[in-house]
Amino acid sequence: MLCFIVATMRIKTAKIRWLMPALALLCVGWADSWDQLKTMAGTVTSVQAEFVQEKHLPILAKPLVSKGVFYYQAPRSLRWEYRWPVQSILAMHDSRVRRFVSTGASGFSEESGAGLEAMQVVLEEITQWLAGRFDDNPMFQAHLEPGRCIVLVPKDDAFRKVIQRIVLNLAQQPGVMQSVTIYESEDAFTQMTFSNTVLNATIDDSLFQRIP
Amino acid sequence: MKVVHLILFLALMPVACGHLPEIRTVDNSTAVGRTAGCADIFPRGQWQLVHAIEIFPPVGSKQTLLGIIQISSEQRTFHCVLMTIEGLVLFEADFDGAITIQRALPPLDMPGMAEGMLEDISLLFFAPEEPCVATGLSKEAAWICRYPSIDQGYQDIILQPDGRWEIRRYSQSHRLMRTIAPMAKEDLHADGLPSRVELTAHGLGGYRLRMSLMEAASVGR
Repeated sequence: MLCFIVATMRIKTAKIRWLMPALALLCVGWADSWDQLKTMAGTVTSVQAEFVQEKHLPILAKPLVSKGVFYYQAPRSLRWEYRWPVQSILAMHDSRVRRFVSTGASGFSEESGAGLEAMQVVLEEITQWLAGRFDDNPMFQAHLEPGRCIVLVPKDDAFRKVIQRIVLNLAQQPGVMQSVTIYESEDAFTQMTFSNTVLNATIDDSLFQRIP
Repeated sequence: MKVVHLILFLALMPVACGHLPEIRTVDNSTAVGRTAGCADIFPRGQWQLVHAIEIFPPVGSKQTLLGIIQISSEQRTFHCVLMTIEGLVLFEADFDGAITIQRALPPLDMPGMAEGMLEDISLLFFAPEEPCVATGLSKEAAWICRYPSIDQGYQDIILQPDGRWEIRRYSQSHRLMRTIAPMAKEDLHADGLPSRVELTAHGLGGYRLRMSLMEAASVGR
C-alpha cells in the first residue's frame, strides 16, 4: 500500500513537472499583445460554440434572451444560427451574407432588408476576431486591456451613434472567446456569452451554403 | 395608352369603390352590452409586449423584426423599439401625444415612416378615442361598432358570431385603409391576448404585418 502511495506521488510529481511549462504559458496569457493573439488564433482552423444572447434596453424589465449556435471555418465562413425563440440563420460564405428565417411549418425562407448590410459588417468583423485580427479594421480604434479584454471604439462619429463600442472578453483557453458585448449606449447593449466551444473540428462546407 | 388607362383605373378605383358596410340597428338593450364588448378586444392597463413581426412590403422579400412595446391604455402613451433578430435597434420612439424619435436607422428614418408606425400601433393597441356613433348587425350577422376618427374617417370593430374580431379603418372617402384580425380564434396567449395578429395596409404601396406574440407582461405603475 505504501509503495502504491509513493508511486502515485512520484507519478503526480512527474505530471506536475510536465504541466508546469504549460501552466506558466497560460498564466503569461495569450492576449498580452496583438502579435500573441494573431499567433495563437493562427492555429485555429474552425470554431463552433453555443451562445446565449441578452438584449438589454431601458424599456425592458428583464433582458430579451435568444439562444443559438455558431460555426466558423477559416478564413471567412460563418454560420450564426438562432434556435430560440425565433429560428433564424445568418450564413456568410465567399463574402456573401444571407439571412433565413423560419416561417413555421413551411421551413426557412430567405429574407433581406433593413439590418442585413449592418449584419454583413458585423459578421465580417467576427471572422476577423476569430482569426485574431482584432486591430486590423481601420473603422475601429482597438484597445487591448488587462484581463484578456479588447475594446473596439468606432472612429467615425456617425458610426459611433449606431455602435458606441464593442467589448470582447477572451477566455483563458487560447483562441476562445468568452463573451462579446455590443454597446449602442450605456444602457442599451447586446451581450453574447459563449459556451461549449470546440476548436479545429471538421465542419462540412455545406453548413455555410445550404440552409434547411 | 393602355398603361395610362390602367394607371387612371388604379388611381381612381379606391375612391370609386369606397363605401362603409351597412349597419342594421337592433334594440337598445342588446346594443349596450355588445358595444362595450367592442372595446374589450384591446389590452387594458400597462403592458409590455414583445412580438416577432414579419413584414411583407409591397416590393421585395419579407423581413422579420422584433418589436417591443410598452403601452398604457389609460394614458394612451407608448414606448416602442424595433430591432433585428440579432439585436440591432433600428427604431426607437416615445409617444405621449407627440412622437419623439430616439433612434431611426435607414430605411426607417424616411419621412412619414414614424407617423405611419404611430397610426398602426394606435390602431392595434388602443381603443378608439371617440364614442361609438353606430352599432348593429352587418349583412353577415356580425356585430359592428363604428367610431369616428379625428381625420374624419371611421374605425369599425367587428365581432363575428364565432368569436373572432376584426378592426377596419376607413378614410374620409370611406376607402378601406387597414384591417387587423387575429390569425386564429383559438390562438390566444396565456394573458388572453391574441398570439398572432395580421395587419393589412390596403391600396397602392400596401403591406402586411404578421405579428406573433412572444412575451406579454403586465407592467406595474
